[in-house]
Amino acid sequence: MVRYGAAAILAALAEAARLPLHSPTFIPFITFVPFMLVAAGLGGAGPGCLTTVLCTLEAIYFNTEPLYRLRVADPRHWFGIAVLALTGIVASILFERLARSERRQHAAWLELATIQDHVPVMLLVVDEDLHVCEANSLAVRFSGKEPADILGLCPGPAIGCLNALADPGGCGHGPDCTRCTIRLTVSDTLLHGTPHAAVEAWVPVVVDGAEQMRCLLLSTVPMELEGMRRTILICALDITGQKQAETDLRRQGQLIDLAHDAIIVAGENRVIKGWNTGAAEMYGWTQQEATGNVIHQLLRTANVSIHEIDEVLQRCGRWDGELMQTRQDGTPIVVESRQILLRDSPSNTAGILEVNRDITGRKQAEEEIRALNANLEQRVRDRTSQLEAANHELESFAYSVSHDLRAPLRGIDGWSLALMEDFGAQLDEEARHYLGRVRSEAQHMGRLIDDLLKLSRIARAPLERDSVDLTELAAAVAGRLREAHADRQIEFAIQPGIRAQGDAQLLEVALTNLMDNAVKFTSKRPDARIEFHQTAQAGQPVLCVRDNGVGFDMSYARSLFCAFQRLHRASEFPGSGIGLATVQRVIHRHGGRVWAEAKPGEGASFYFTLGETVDRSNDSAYRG
Amino acid sequence: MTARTILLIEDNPSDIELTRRALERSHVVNELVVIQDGQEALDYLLGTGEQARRDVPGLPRLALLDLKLPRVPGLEILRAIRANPRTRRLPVVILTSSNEERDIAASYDLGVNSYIQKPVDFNRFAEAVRQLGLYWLILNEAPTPLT
Repeated sequence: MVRYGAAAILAALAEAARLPLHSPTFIPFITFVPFMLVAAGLGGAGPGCLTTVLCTLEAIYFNTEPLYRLRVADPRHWFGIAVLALTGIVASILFERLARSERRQHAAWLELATIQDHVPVMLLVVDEDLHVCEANSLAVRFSGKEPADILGLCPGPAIGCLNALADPGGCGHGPDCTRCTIRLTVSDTLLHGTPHAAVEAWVPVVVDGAEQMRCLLLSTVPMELEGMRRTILICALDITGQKQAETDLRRQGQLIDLAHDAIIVAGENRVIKGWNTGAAEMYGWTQQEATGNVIHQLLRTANVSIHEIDEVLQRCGRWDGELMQTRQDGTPIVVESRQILLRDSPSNTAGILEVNRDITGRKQAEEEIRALNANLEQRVRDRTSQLEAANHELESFAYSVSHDLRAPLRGIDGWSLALMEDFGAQLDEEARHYLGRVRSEAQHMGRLIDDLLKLSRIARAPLERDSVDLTELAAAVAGRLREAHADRQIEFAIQPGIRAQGDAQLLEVALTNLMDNAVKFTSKRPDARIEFHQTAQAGQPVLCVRDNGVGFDMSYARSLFCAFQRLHRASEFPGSGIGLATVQRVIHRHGGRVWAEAKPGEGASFYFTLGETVDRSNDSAYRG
Repeated sequence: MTARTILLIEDNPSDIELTRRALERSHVVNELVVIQDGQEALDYLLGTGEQARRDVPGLPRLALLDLKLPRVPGLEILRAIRANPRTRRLPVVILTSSNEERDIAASYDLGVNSYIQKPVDFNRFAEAVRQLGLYWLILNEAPTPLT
């Protein structure tokens, strides 16, 4: 409205400007034109046309005969009026066009400026001297400088490259700057007009107060606009983050390749998409050969159905198990497989990750061990039955010995006695003595047989371990011995409170033999003393039967524990020579060991253990 | 055959003679019937086999039984004696060389009245036989034989 008011006023002023003129009709209408142009120029088409219309009406009304009437008497005047109106309208339209174009240009410029400042790319414009003449706000922010400080700098320093700072001569002169990718790229574009796209340049810059290498992705475009100086637009994108991620990914990829396990990524329907070096080494197919195949068809998975695995995968998200597959060269392979369902959203599966480890060797070893075990079990069974047979044979032998060998002895003894009784009167003293010797030999052999049977019985009897009061046992044995040797003075010194784990019956046999020996070998002493006590060796309890009898020479000790081996004459100390063999068998059956220490004339000590651990190294010295 | 008979089931001639001698020395006057074969002993006691055609003899006062015998072993004879109602109460003493635990146990399981191992020393053997005769023929009250 203001513009239209102003247009009307202008029309009025145009007429007023003619007032000083005396002959209004005579003066051409040209005086209206400046006002019309002003209205069109300032107000545009509307106000221009309004002023034109008003000025035309004024020309007709005030300045054409008849005056003050809207009529034109002389038709020749219509020409002047038409020219006036046409001039005004054309001017209005032209000015309107001009104004619109200007507005559009302004808008375009504003738009461009906004884009420039908000585009996530650094934009720099350099002139022919390689000096920055424009920079967008991102470039300014990246450089860390004030906008005004950037202008006139070379592109390197403009974005804050530290190499340029180290080079007092300015960018492009120092050793680093001569290799500066930014500079080389921009120079090339400048000299040859070649545009460059996606050139990577690493530059040292300061970010958040710390020096860092940043990677910029550069594009350079020559801009040659008519009538303007040649410039170059540099677009730079900071891709350090992407580069880092790329490096990380590559490193992860290398790691996956370093794994000895086969790592296979499969898409839908188990079509192979990823195949690491481990897989190539394990199965024989290269990545190119494997990719695109269906995993279980390529590897000929045999022992588990894919439906079964899929069912578990859908339910649990993972499947673990052993698979029997075939390598490229046709050899079978057993793998420990771990399969994981890959999802790109909670409801959608993207594929399967399969990690397989070759356990063929392990399986073979297991199989061998199993076979060996089975074999071993069979051998143990065989050996056991052989042993049982041998034992059985031994038992029958012992039975025969016990029954059949004794009968003739009884006959020899009995008939010798019968001879002596019935015909004693007819025999002289010597014959009777011989008969007595026959009887005593027969009886001795009878005792030998009895002792041998006892020894074999000890080897065969089942061992029943229990807590045994050895003190009590030794005291009982001592009591019996004292009774049997009532004519002798024997002192028994038995340590109280000795207990051990063992078979009471067998231990009694052993103690009886040891103490009986002690009684026997002290028979020449009036002050016989027999001890039973416990001591320790290497933390293990050791039991000892000691006497102060005749003792023996240790150099003969090696045969001490062998059956029928004797260190003394039978006439001096009678015995079967089986007692110590019996003792040793009892102790060995307990897993213990037995040994002796003695000196001629100074008595003997017999030591034994009843440990769980069998260490017979010491005994062997006596057994040879 | 009288009820005072002693039946000796033993196959070793020497042992038979020695047993007879030991009994004599102990003044045991009962008649000694000797059978040297397991099957014959069964026939004699149970009236089977050849014996079946003759009269079954009266039961002995005491049976001395060896374990090792031809054809039928001593333990089988003992089992048969105890299984037959007629001979069930017959006092049976095992007189053997064996002192195997399993023989002793088996004998008692089958209902033997005594188990004596024959010692090699004849004096001890004679003493054992003497005591045996004294106990079973004089001290012990015999059961009424079943007919």
